[in-house]
Amino acid sequence: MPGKNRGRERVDEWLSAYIDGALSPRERARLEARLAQDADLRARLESLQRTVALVRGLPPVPAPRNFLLTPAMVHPLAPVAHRPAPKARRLAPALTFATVISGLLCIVLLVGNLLTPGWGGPGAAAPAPMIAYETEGSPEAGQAEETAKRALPLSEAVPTETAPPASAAAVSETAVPEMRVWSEETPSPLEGPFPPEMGGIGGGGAAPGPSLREPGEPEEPEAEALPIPTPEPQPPERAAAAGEATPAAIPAVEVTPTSPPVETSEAPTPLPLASWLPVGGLALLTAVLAVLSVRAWRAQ
Amino acid sequence: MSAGRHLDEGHLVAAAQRGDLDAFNELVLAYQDRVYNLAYRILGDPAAAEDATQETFIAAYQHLSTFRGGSFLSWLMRTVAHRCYDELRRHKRRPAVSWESFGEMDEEANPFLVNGHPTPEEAAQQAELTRFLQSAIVTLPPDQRVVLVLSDVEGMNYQEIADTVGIPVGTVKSRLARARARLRDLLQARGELLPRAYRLEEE
Repeated sequence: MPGKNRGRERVDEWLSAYIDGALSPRERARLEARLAQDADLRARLESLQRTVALVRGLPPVPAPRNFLLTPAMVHPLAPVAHRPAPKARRLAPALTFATVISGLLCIVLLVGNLLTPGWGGPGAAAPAPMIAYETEGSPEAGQAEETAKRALPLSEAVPTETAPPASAAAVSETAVPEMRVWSEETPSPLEGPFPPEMGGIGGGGAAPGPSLREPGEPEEPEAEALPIPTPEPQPPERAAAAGEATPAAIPAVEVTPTSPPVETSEAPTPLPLASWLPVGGLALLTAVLAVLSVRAWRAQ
Repeated sequence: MSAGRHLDEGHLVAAAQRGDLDAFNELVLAYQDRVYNLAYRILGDPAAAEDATQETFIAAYQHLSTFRGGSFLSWLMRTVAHRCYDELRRHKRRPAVSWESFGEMDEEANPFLVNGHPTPEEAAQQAELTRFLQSAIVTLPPDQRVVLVLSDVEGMNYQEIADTVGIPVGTVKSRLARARARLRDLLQARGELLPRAYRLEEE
């Protein structure tokens, strides 16, 4: 009995495929030869053909209403909700890149200004941290030890506002702290020089400085910045001597030639304000870009 | 006309992929009848077909990013077929429609069905036959039902059905044959209906 059912199923499968024109030419020829002789098989085929024709003739049922989507219907997983992500994904690297470029430009300008002969007093506080480390390395400057002490809070403060995005490239850190140094220093030429030696005058100018710097958490940038100077033998010593000042140490080495200005700083001759404006502007731009890129990365 | 429509479809799909809900809704208006019809023929229940249709469009919009070109309608049909199949399997334990309830199913008694038929008698006969057929389709096992509707209602070939359902062509062939044979047996069991249907066919 099951064998007979199987056989019937097999025949039905052939007939069904025949109706659809899905038999191979050989199978088709065999079936047609059998159909010519077998009236039952022809009846079977006919009933199947009619069944198929009936189903194919079923009238289409139109939608009883419109199925238009509303924003509320698709809100939970709507592409609209996803859209900011790809945008931010593209925006974040671009902003980080812009931050780095802006920071590098700022450094270039800063270094250019620092190397300008005749520059002195106003920026004395700026090179201080750099000189501090440099003097540790070089035997000469004894006075530098004083500046080094002063440099500590300064350099700790350096990356304060930076708070670079965890995902941002280490390059941006090296650039940004440098810029920070300057962005904090820029007001000093305006409000009054803050030369390291003139503690009395600096007292007024120094007061707002540390207050800005204290909240800093230089740990993050330091951790990421460290790999860069590793080839140099000094970092361990610096770390021992200057503790958290390491981030500033990186630019310090690069700006080695700034040691001569220390001597000139004893006779402060403020550089024209105009030459500091681009640096300050770039520093500000870098800061804004850094904040924006942090937000862009976090948005992901 | 079909070429222009295809071009529109591509633009609308691209716009919808960018989050343009209005563009997507134009696609909804263009294809809702086809999607609903497939859902209704597989599920045999207007309310369930409505739910399946709405869910299909929502899911399609939310997963538009996975649409990799080709025919958007085919993609929609695949989506709704899967949804209906899942729905049928979910309610597998629910008792199948009995023959006794056939006369009570009047969702086909819709004015549009009568359109194009010259006499009320013929219209009534056709509506009765249509109702009967749909009720018979609903008694098929889900796997056979989906294949039968995709083949004989949607007009897909074996390969398209295999792609849509995700089964080999050979399986499509055998499921379709079993579905048709079973339907034929059901129709023959209602001998009084089938000869009348044949007469309608032949006239």
